[in-house]
Amino acid sequence: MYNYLKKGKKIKPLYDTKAIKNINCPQCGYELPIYFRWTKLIECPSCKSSIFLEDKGAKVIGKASTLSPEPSLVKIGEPLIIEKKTYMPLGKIRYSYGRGFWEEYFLKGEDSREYWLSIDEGDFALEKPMNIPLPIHSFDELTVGAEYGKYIVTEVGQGKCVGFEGELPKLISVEDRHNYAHLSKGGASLVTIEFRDKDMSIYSGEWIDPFSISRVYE
Amino acid sequence: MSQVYSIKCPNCGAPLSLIGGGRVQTITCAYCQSVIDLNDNYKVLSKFKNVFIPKSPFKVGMQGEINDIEWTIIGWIIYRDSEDSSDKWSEFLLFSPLYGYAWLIYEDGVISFSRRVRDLDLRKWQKKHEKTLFFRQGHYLLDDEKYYSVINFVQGELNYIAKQGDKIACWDYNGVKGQSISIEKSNKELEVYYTKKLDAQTIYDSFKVKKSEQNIKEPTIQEKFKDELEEKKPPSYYGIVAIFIALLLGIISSLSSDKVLFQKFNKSTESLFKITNSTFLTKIELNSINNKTLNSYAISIYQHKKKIFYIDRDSVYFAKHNLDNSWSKRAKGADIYIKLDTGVYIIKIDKIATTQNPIEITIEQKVIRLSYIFPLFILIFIFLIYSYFIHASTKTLGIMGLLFVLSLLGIYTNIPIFPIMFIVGIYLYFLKRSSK
Repeated sequence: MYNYLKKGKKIKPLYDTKAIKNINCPQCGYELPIYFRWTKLIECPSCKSSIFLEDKGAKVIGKASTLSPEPSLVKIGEPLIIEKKTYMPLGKIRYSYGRGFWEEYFLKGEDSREYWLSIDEGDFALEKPMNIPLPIHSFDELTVGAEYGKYIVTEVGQGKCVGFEGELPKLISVEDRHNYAHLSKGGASLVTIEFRDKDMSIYSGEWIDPFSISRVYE
Repeated sequence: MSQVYSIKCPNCGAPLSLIGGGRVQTITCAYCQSVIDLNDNYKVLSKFKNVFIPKSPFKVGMQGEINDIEWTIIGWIIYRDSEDSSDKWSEFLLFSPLYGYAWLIYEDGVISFSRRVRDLDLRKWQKKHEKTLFFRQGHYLLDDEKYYSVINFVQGELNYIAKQGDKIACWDYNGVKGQSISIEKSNKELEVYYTKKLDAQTIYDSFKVKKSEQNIKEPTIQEKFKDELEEKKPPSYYGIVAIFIALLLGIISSLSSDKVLFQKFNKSTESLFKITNSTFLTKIELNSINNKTLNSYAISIYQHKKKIFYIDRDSVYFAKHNLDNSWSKRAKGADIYIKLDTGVYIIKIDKIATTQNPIEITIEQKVIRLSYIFPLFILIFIFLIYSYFIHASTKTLGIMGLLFVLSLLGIYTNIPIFPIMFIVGIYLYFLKRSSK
């Protein structure tokens, strides 16, 4: 998985890349290293099964769709430096918005926490989950321009999951649809609200200049 | 993310290639100027009619590198000033699968690169419309009052729906080194663009523009003056250079050694001398009229009754470390460099063969061997000249300055690790630059 380690470079990794544990794919027996403590879903690179990690073990919940290779600044398993901090991309989800798609990379931060890097054709946003209550009840009440305190709704839309790779801290299936809204309080700051059925997830972060992203190992 | 596919113009049937990724909303047919909506079953939205298309060195489909990133021109908009219809400029929409969308702006031989940025606080700007902006540590001043740009012509793909006559309110803020910030307000959006002037020749070469179509605007006297002003290095650079020069002068001035003994001897005898400064080396210079005379003497140095140095025609001894061979048989003089601590010494001259001629002995303290320090000087000068031309950061110069001070300290204290650190530092710096 971690190609840069296979190159045999004798440099001290800036990032803790040790697997927390290893499991075997219940479908084909392939050894799967797990790098994030709260991983819930992992794709077996051998048989392409989607494996749900439960407290008691792992079970196959379906097949992940194979994603077509696309050029990207981010690669799973190759650590990145963003604003002087290192992040390890562990997985990604590709969402379709009709004519095109965007990708969301699940990153493990230096603090071993969950981060998401959203890449939509030159627009990069780095966010982390927030556990805060918001005075918003449903997606339907959000319209572009609506103000919530210091925040203003700048974008609303819908995405459909077309596939994923690697390990993820949340359960998702191909064809899953969700609504989202971006809120901004000015500058590069960003809050994203995702609505899945009755569930609402909140992420906060910043828009990132893609020219400021560099790889730890070139 | 990019996928290339082809469609036929629903109006005239001309083949059209779509290369600009999923965020492209319209394509304007190059043959009939129909604007086709890619999100609504290729519906013809409008047509650009009776438009005179000016000559331009750039065309849709061209590819080239800007700042080491490859871009493809996917769309072209010609704007005009709403107040002055003769004031026109072209904006070419660029697409990169890795970096998304950007603009190549062309106006009378001046070429700039522009990208949307999001880290300017627009809500704050909207409240005050200040005449001065601070963005990413840069200072920008409002060029003029607000003006309106009007879309005159569109060709190729665009990531928004543009119609002939669409008006965009613009506020341009100019910074240093050809940088500017543009705030653009249309009916739907308020966006900020960061623009930087590019070297026209480099861009023409990269996009393979024919020589006959290249147009480079010569800078006006005012622009030249502005460029020269901006090329000036910040005072901090000169401060660091001044420190370098002061330190160099310090070394040169310390090259003036002190003579502690200068005497001729023609018999076996002893003499006292005193080393008061142990910086650098002590030089013992032997001179005679011919090689036979020199070979007739043996020199010893004692401190506290202990022999610490001895030399004759056959052997040499130094208490601190091994020295190489003695002088050659044909030599009539010799320079010996040893490191002596401060203190009183006795030099003992022994005549070991018959000669009537004297030997002249000069002992100098605080002597620096140029062969040791000269390469360091050369290295420092190369680094200073190089850093001036490649605009090394103040931080880099600061680190090099610190290493240089340490290397001087190393020379004074005879600790070789500091000069080595300085040389390794410069080596790593050049290595890092060459790998970029």
